[in-house]
Amino acid sequence: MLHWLDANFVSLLNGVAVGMLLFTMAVGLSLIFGLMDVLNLAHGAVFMLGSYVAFHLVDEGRRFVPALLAAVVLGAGLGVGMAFAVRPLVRRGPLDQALLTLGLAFVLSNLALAVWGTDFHSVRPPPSLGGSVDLLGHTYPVYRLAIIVLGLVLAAAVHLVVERTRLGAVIRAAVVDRAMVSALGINVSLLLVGVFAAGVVLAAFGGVVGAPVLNVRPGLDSEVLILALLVVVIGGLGSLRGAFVGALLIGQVQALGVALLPQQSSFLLFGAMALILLARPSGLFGDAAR
Amino acid sequence: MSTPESRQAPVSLAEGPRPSPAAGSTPLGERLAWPLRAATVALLVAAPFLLGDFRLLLLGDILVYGLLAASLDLLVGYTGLPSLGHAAFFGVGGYVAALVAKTTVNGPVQLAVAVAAAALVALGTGWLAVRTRGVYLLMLTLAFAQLLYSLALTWTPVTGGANGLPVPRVSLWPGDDGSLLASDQALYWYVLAGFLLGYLVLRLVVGSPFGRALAGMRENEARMRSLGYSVVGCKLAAFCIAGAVGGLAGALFVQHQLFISPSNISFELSAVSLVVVVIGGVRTLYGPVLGAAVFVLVREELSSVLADHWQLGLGALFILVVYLLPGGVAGLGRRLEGWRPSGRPATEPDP
Amino acid sequence: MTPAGAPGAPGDGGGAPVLELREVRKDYGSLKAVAGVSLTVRAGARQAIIGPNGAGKSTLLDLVSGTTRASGGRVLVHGADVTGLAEHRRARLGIAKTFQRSNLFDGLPAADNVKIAVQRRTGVARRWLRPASNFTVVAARAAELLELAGLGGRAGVEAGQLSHGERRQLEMAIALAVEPALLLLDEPTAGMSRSESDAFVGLLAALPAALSVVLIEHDLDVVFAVAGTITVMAAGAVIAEGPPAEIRASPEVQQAYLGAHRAADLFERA
Repeated sequence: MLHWLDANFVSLLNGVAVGMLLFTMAVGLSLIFGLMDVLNLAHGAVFMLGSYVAFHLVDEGRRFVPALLAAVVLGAGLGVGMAFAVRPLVRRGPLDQALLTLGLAFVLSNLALAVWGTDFHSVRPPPSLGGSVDLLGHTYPVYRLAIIVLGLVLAAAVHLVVERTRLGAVIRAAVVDRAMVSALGINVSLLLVGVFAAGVVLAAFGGVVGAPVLNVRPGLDSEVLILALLVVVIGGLGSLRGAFVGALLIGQVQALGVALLPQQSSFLLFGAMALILLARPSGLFGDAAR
Repeated sequence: MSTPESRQAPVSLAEGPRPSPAAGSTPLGERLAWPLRAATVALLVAAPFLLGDFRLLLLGDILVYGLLAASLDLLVGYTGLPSLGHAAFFGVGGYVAALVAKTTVNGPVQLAVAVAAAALVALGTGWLAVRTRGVYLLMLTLAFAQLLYSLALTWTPVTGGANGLPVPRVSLWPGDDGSLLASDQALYWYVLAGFLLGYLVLRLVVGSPFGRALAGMRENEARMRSLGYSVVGCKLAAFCIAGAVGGLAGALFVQHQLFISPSNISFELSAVSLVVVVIGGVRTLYGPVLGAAVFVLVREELSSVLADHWQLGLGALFILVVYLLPGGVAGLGRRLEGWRPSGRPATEPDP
Repeated sequence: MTPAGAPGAPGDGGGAPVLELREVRKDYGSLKAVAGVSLTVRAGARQAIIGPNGAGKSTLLDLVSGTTRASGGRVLVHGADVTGLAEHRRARLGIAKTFQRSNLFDGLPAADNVKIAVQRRTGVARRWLRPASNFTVVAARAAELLELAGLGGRAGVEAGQLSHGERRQLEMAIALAVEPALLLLDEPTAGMSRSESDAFVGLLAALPAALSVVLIEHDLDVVFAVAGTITVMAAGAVIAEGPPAEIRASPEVQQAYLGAHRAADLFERA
């Protein structure tokens, strides 16, 4: 067992890193769905846009911070825009809203194509986080460790906000009963727009952070979206704990699968999802009432 | 007080004799239906004499994608099962036809096996899918399609992997050495025949008692259960029919384009199919075919002008359509009633 | 048809029990919606279930039809245990139900609403490649039923466009279309005017004598006009059961409804 762990150490860590990136997307997806019953199919496109922003601004690994800021601003703008775009369709139900986000995804991904073309691009990590480090007898890139740390910090922050702050309490209440929260005098529209924007910002943020480890290219949006959807389905739509656990799980299966069983890795992923949905239709941590 | 049903001439495939509120007042849509259909089929048959080779090829593409979109309409529009993975059946049909082509180039045989395979896949995935609803259904169908996509991409010895599979031209019946369908025109007619067959099946299903049951399920599932209908069984049947026709479309595609690759079973295709169905008109069967026509034509005509940006226009159009549809995508069917010249309310949605 | 307003011929049937409930329970957590109800309904019975709101009457009907699974006890239809059977399978055994709030196919014409039910009964529902218009028997039967329910001229109107009373009538037409052995009616006259309720009583009187009817009602005029047996429920349990005269005079029932001094008014009027 230990031997196997040692042999696959790099892949295991990669799995955690991928998982953290997926988490940045899954948090937003899960919250937006939990709060608004909206499946934001444009989430992958936003992540991809974040990566393209990184490609555009990052020069040999420098100016990462401006790229992050730009992504945050872009994400906030897009998020607010999407929240308002979806609003007229609230009465028509979740399917129409999901279809709208699909249309938005179409437009966004083709905008990216128009601006940046079909080439593959790579992004250098910031020099301060470049290079590798010795870890338990293996060399591992520092940047990926940084991603892992960042992911954990993000998870902790989200947990704190949701569980320990008044805002978090309001969000949790709104997930359960929006009308009641509104009746308490809280501006629910503002809350919804805010949460939507926050979720989209996280996706854009994740895109920038992930750019050095992924190939920035067209098609990235669908790939990431599908994985993120897997995460929230397995973890349970609306559950943040589920998003975290699901992300780690999917990240592992993806990384280990690619390394050990490249032919069958997708089978594992989607097969696992089908099985889990069979057993627990609302995901591992999901709310059965949905 | 009883309605003079005996004085009715059955006008459409969808429903039986309708009570006529006044003598000689039939909806405009119905009066135009048969002549329009006849004219369309005639035009399609005459196409090889009217269009050049390249345009004929495009028309073939339109028919194939149109059939796929129409089969998706059965699922989304008539049964109320939104699917983001319909390309799976297209791909299964196509790949199976391509594989059968290694043994025999007999076209109809390939089609039969492909359709059976697609129906089986629909049965297997539908069994789970029809037990979910809404966004979960969207994601489940997406997941199954992705599973098959990755299979197509990685199972290189069988599927050719990312490079795909080239396919020999089909022959029509045993003994035919391929000369019957050697010309582009003949091949087009073959594809047209396949399209008409698939479309006819969809039409018949929608107008049958089973189709009526699907309408009931769409409107009120709880009621259907209390009437003794097995809702899960009905949905599964619809899923399988839609999958089988989608597989037919995929097989025809392969026989027309002589090539298949993973892009024919991709999420992009599933998404575009859904977009096309919505733009063309949910729950009409012919609307999605028109939508597919728009898609193919725009892709061709505009790609020279706008390079890869034509999809932007499609996306924008899609968004517009989603906003502007009264009652939304789900409620569209109720609006599609035959307009009566006398101004009275119509009886049923037009087929 | 018997003239509207005149009491139909109440019967408690004399044949084999169509429906038997044995200590049937439904719990929602600690709430006992139905707390151990036992009931027998024979062929041809006209049985009314009355009781204050929240007594569990609708839940009981749901337990019979299978819309809700029982937490305990047994449900037997024609002597066969159907407690674990799914709703649609129970329906095929001859149970038809109308819903408390009209539950129709709103977007479809009234005629189609009935046809959907008729085609199920005639076994035609599975035909998937022949035009529905081929099966003229379905359309004919649907027209008949609509006529019977008083909706002859409204066949082409969308169910969602019908008036409230007409929707209730359509409910009945659909329920009768499956030719049930057991008809469950959940507050069929809710929201009906006096004349509509009278017409409804006439409709019930014209039903086949062999058909068993169990109805939940708040309108005591209707109850006393129609029922051969009255079951009174309160707080999930049956507190009284018997012929109308007995129930009318029962002090427990009066107590359960409104308290003794108000109940006298209520029962005297009916």
